[in-house]
Amino acid sequence: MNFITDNIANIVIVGVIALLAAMAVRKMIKDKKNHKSCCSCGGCDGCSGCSMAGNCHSDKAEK
Amino acid sequence: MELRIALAGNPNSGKTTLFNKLTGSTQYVGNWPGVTVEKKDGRLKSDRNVIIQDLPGIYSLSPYTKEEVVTRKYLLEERPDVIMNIVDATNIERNLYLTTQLIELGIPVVLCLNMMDVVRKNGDVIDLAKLGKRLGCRAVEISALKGDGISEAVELAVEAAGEKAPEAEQPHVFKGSVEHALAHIEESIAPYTDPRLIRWFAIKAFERDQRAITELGLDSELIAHISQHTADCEREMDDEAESIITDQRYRYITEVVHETVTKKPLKNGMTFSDRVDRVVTDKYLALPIFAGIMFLVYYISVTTAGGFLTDFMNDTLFGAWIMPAAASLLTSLGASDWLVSLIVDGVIGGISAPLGFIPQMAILFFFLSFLEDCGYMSRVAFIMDRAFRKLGLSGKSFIPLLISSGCGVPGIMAARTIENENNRRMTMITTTMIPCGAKLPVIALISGSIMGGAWWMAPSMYFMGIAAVVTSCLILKKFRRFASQDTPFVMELPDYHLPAAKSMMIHVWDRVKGFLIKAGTVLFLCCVIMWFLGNFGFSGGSFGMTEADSSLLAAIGGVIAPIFAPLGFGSWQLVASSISGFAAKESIVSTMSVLAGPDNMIGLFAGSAAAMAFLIFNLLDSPCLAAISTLAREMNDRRWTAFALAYQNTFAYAVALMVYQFGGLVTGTVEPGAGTIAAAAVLMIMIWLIVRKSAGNDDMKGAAYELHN
Repeated sequence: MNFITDNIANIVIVGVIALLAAMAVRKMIKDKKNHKSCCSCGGCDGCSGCSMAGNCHSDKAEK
Repeated sequence: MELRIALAGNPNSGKTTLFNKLTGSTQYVGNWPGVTVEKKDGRLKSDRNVIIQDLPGIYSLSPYTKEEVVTRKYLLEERPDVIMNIVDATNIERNLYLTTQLIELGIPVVLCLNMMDVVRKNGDVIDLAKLGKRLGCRAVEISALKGDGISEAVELAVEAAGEKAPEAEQPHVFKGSVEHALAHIEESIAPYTDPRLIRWFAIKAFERDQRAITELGLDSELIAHISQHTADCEREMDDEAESIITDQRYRYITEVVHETVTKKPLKNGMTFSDRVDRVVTDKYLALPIFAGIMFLVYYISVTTAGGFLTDFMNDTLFGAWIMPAAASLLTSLGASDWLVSLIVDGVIGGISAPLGFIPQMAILFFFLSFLEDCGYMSRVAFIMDRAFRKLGLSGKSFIPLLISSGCGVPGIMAARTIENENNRRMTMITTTMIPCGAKLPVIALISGSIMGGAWWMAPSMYFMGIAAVVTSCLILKKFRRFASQDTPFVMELPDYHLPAAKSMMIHVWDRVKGFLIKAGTVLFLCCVIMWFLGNFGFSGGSFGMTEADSSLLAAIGGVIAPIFAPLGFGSWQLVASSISGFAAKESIVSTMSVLAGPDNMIGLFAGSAAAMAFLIFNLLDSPCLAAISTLAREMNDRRWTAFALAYQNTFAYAVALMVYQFGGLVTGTVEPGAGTIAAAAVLMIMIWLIVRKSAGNDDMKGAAYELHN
């Protein structure tokens, strides 16, 4: 119990960092599933803002 | 009930601009052919039941290019309810060639005369009503860029779609014996096709278009009968069927244009664009002008305006305000020292390092966007065609390189328009050697901090990228697997115009937004992982926080570091930074900041030669994961992908080795030894690879150009 009270600030801050990291991972996985890539080409809008929209994943669509 | 409107027209006529305006999309609009390779769908903003389909730009419905095949297949098989034919009114004569073919498809056509504002500005007049009447379709004036007339155009399209057949009788494009032959062919094929398509198939059968004949499913006797009609006509007109059709179409268009368009006489017979082109595409001046412009773009972006703002971001905003404030806040909350270090040195320090370069990136993208939108970059592709033909490539290969200066991913994908497979592969392998926006932080860091803000550094990295591409092409082209004949490069050069500020701002914002999102995801995770690996390790028999030199990263990096020692950056921090660049190129600076601290990054380098070698290696080696996965998908062959990655890294290593060894000799930081001998050997091998005789057929054909009119 003493450990928790002594380190409450650390625990909360680590929790926040862990939450942010989890959210970042979740976004990256979600983007990958939606065929969005976080490259610098037109932001993270992925295919929607790309000149080759709908073309690059046609192999999956064909299956 | 849903209504499908297809946007069809010549390349660069403004289809995607109109598509974006109608649907609210932000599809990439480019001033060169091949930007739209496949059709794109979107719903009309004002009526979600109307589907707008943006088709690739084509000059005709002949199935010669990928774009033509895609468009023709779609129009014939899926048959939209109406076609909005976007016509560049400043080049009406050439654009109407496709119009005459679209009208024959039996689908209602609305002729949208785009860029009418420019026509009016030039003092030209187009009789819209007469033009529509002569072509047998509705005609409307629009300006896709400004949004003028687009609502009326859609209204006309919806109205036309309501009709079962096109409004007026089809125009009599062909004359005499051609029309006579077509009438016979129409009669013969009538039972084999939809009545609306008889005219289209009759013309195609006359031209002996094998695809069309196969689609009709005619028996051999009927084919011979049709062929006899064609042969009779060819004999009479002393020409080939396809040429006869083309010639009569142009004769008809010339007649229509003569009746409906009144052109203001030009001064010296030249437009403003022609006068500018006389200088910027001049045989001798073109390349120096291009070099001068790109030099200015990088100089202003990185060294002057951008540099000033970046210094403010790095030194004041992050260095003097945010980081000390965060440290004192965390300390006051009672956070442990290691946690303060994680957040301040790891997360904030790591993310702020590349984030500080946003002003430079934004200014660079602004200039690149301006050059592209105003029409200059299209000229560059044309200019470079001359130089690239000497390398066995065409100007078409330079378009991916121009796009790669923003980001390598669309650059690799843009190589799709290159028909020749060998040239396409070679372009994909080399295109990421051009510094993309994500590499700008490392260029700016080295030029600003290590090379004393040298004015020539940032621009020269762009030219170094082009030189690396040229050298690579000269080397690869000598191998049988890459040897090929170049293909003609036909490109329409748009008139020069002042770009719309909004579209440029959207372009810049898209890039910056992408960078910011990446900072919050990939870079954030990279910083946390790098901080952990760089601060934790086994020390005194137990695992915990330790000195940097005993950290996990030092142990891992230490194993790989000797490989990079001949390049002058054999420290584990720099090796780890380079490796982190494979996740995202921005991570290079980010990791350097995490491992050495924002103020001590310069101390990682043993002299300017080592810094240059580090920079060049990271500019030329394999691109980031997003670009690698695109490369793998586009290559569609594991062995070719493996070859591409191996070539990129070997080439980067070889160049960095020479830069460090020879540069170090000059600056006195390297003693002659085994490294120098190795660098000399690499130089000799590279020269031999460049000058040796080609292993394959390297004949070159002339390229075809199409300038204004």
